[in-house]
Amino acid sequence: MPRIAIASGKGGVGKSMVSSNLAVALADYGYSVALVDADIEGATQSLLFGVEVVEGTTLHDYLAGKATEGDVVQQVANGVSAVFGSMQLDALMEPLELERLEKLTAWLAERHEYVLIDSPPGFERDILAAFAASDAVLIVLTPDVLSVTGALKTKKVARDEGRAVLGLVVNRSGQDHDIPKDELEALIGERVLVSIPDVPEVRDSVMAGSPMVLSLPKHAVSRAIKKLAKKVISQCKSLALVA
Amino acid sequence: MVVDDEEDILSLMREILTREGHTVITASGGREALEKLKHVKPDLILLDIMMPEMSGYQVCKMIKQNEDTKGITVAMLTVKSEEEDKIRALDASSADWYFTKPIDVAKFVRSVRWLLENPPRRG
Repeated sequence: MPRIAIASGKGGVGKSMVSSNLAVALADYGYSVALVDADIEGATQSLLFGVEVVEGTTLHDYLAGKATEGDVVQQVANGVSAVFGSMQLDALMEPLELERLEKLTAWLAERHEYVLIDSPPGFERDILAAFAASDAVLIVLTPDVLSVTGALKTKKVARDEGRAVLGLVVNRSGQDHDIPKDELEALIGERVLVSIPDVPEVRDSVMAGSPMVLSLPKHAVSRAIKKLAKKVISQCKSLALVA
Repeated sequence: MVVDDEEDILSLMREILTREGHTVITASGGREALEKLKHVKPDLILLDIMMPEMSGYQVCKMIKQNEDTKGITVAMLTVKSEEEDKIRALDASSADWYFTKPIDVAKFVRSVRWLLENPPRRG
């Protein structure tokens, strides 16, 4: 079943928020979903789900060879399992075998209908590991030039790694100076699947530790994410990533 | 300001943009453009990438490194359309925008109007 890396190039564009909500939205459509917090140096998914991380059961422990697949997967919402990253600085000091990420997502893909990989920003070894552990890439950006540059780089790396690009998710849209959707599509050469409005409720949901699709299902952000889920499902079907 | 070493392109751009009510200055190369920028400050520079002597990348970098000109919006105008070219233009040369030739005139005119009304912000 498809393993989708959610990537951005530029940090701070809302990739983790999109990942957690997309996981819940896909589960809402009846699919079983596994979410892996592969942002090795900036893991935040446990905060987004309001879950306290138990050391010894994190992605870092798995990558350090100290835990098995079964040790690190936990159910966090109806239909959603997650592998959280450690938030301890010590965990980063451990020698991590990033290649093990591919083994983990392959294991998860045998047991779930969708595997989402919340990928690190930048273009270091960890993003390559995230792409190697995926079948397709979803690019998140904000509608500004720096983010467009990050999206272009992400697209190039994804293509170099032989990964399909599902499309663009424009986060924090709705400001006067936003680059319009058609211009973004022309600049990056990929379709915008959905635009997510910039509203304070997103920050509130992060503070509350509950994805918006769960806590405010009728909100414009949740509707946008559900629309994204439908498009992801359809894209995966058209790319023959699902049976 | 339109910077291109091809006279045909300069004429075409001048015609399209003048018809839209814009005042157009042209330069047939990087050196001429940089010289003209000492005296005029256009709202937008449309800059070809493949030019003799100085590439558009180099010209753009010099514009963006100069305190007097770094605030001017620079859009690359080129036949190059690979991701690497776009990344190089937007990242290494700090350009603000990217148009690929051949242009769709109606769309190009809309984009130029939008760029003039909304100078791109970086992050």
